[in-house]
Amino acid sequence: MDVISVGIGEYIVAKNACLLESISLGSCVGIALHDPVTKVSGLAHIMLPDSALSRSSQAPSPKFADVAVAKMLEEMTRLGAVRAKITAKIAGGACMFQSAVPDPSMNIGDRNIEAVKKLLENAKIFLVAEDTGKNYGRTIVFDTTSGKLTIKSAKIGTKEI
Amino acid sequence: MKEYTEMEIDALKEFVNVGTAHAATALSKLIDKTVTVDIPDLALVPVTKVPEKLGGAEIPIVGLYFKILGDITGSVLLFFPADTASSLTALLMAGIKPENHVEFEEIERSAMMELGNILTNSYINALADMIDAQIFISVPFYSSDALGAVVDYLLIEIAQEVDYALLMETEIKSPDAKLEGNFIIFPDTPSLERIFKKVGIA
Repeated sequence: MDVISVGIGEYIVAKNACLLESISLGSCVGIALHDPVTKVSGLAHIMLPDSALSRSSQAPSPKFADVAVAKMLEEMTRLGAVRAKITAKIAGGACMFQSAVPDPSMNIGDRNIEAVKKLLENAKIFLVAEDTGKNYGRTIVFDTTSGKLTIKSAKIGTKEI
Repeated sequence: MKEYTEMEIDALKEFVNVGTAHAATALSKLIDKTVTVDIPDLALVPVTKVPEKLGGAEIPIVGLYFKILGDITGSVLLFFPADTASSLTALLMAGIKPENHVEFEEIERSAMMELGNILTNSYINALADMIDAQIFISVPFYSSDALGAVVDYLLIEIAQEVDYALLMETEIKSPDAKLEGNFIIFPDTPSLERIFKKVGIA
């Protein structure tokens, strides 16, 4: 099966059977959307919670969770996905750094996870499973046929959600 | 996206070169080996391409992150490939033999954080002297993981403002000891302007 890489701050939507992969997520969050009937799927690798926080005057970028989810939903429905059938799995949002003096500003991973969950809830997308938080990096592979999300990490090994 | 003139790029190269040279001297004294500095690599890179530019998202590294405060604000990341980090801790704590790909024990982690402190202080103090500014660094923040996962915190900070990162990277090497490490400094945009002004090109 084709493996398509989703870079940091990007998203990919696919209609055909393939593997969508994001390498080494730290505090970033991977959002996998899937319609189990039509198999239309998408994977986003977001960096920041909300485009309302943007300090840039440029067009809204999918590096923000809200923009990525809106764009994926739009493209997935255009490819035939049924909006009400779309479910989500998420992974990432780790706190990668530790120090003798903890600094709450380093916990962007927590803020990302919280924002993504709220976003999914508001969009009425059911969150099926998650592997989030903790302190290690994750590489994720999303199978668009089965909707399975495989999470690989050097420290913990491989798991499937 | 801001364009930088050749003069500005040259000034920044000189700026980071001075800092790195001081850090290399400090490392050389600590491990008693020759340490050399490569010519700084400065490039305006899309944030999404930074992991690739630094050698690949998947390579295992040990990263030490510092916030910079004072007249210049931003952040510094000093990172070593995992095998270099193992060799460094072995050199710093003669007698204890670390194994590759095994999580560093607490004492080794402390040693790396202290090493990061010493090198980054040398680096930042040299920069501060050069432009006659007061610059301080935070306590070290430690991470041992895949490069992509370690640097994404930095990229997230940058991505709040811009889609391109002015990547100012310098490599230090000790060919005898087969060691290499990279310094990356990310001054925020107002700080960059301040640097240009101090070196007389703004």
